[in-house]
Amino acid sequence: MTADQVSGLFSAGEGFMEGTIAAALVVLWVLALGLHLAQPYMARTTGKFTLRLGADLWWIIYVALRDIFLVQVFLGSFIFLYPDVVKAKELPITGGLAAVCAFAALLIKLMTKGDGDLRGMRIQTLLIGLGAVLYVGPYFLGTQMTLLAGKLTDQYMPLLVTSKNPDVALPLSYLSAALIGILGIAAVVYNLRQTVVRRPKAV
Amino acid sequence: MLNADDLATALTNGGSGWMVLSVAAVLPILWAFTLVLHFSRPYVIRFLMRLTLRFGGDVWWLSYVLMRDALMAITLGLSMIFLMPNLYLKIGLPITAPIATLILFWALVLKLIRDTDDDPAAFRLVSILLVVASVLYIVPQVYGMEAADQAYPDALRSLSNAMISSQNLVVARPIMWLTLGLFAITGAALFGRFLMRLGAPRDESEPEVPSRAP
Repeated sequence: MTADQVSGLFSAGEGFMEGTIAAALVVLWVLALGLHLAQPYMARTTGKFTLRLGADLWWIIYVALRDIFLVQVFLGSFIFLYPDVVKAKELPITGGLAAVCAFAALLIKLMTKGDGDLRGMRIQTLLIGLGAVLYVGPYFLGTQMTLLAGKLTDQYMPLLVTSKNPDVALPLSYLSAALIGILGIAAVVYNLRQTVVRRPKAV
Repeated sequence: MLNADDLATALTNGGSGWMVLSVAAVLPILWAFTLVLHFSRPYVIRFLMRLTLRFGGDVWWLSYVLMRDALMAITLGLSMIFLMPNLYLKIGLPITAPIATLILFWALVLKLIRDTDDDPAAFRLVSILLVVASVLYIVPQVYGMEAADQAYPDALRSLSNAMISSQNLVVARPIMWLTLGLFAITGAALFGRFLMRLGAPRDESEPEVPSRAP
């Protein structure tokens, strides 16, 4: 094997990994949105347990899974902040903005009083819905159509794929990074201001 | 000899194809497991009645519902690959797999909007949807994808080929776009319903959303 081929082998590994993350993010977005929309079902199920322990366990597992999936969505979406990756790979063009939506929803979870806060819940759901559309839409209609040919496909597909539309994709990537940075600063400031709040003492 | 770029492209395409076909081959097992757990409800309830402590009953029921629903969600998550045009139309997958995915999605939506554990009609409907979806997936996967190397007579061979998306594009294309459209409409309807009902007065039988934030 030549040195050139070894380099090709590692490039393939990187490309495979990034392609897999992009595909897995579709599933994660759908699961994150689905689990948020499943809240009425989960609440209904808590009523079927005869002990508060069962209901609490059910609710803990639901909330933990729902929020972990959203965190995973945000972490996986970090690839949309890497300019080299955005320019070279066939990724959905609004993936970075979708990451901003996921992070904003996480921030609202941090700053509001949980599922009982209707306004917070409504904004979270809207953000997650918007993020899912911004990710899944260009993924199915752009990234997943690069091998197809046709009048409509040739016209619209390149607009939705980062490597085929870098003039839009790169500014969106920088903008997403800036928005995430601003939201991150807001989270840090909120945390620092909350340091006076103590954890409830065990009874 | 291949240069670095060609080698990288070939390896990436090969790797992604292998992964997609592996997921497709594993899904019949997940479908079977989903059906097993869904239809084991009488056994689970019978066992529940034998437990003498309410704690045991709650843990048993929680474990059952959690595994059953998680498995359905995982099956739906993995089945999303059948809605990806590059994979479905180019690699070759079970031809009715997108419809199976859509019907599984409908079954899950039904779980969200009706009480399928206590409403017999809703339970029956979910059961029928799951059976139809699993048949739509397992049959073309086993007798199309996994029977490609069999020396069948010509008539049977063409039937087997017709079950593979990339070899029957005339049927596969409409299935793909129709399924994507219906999937989007269902998702949008569910999303709208959730937002409209958020904070609306709930039924007497429905418990309050737990919220114990300080």
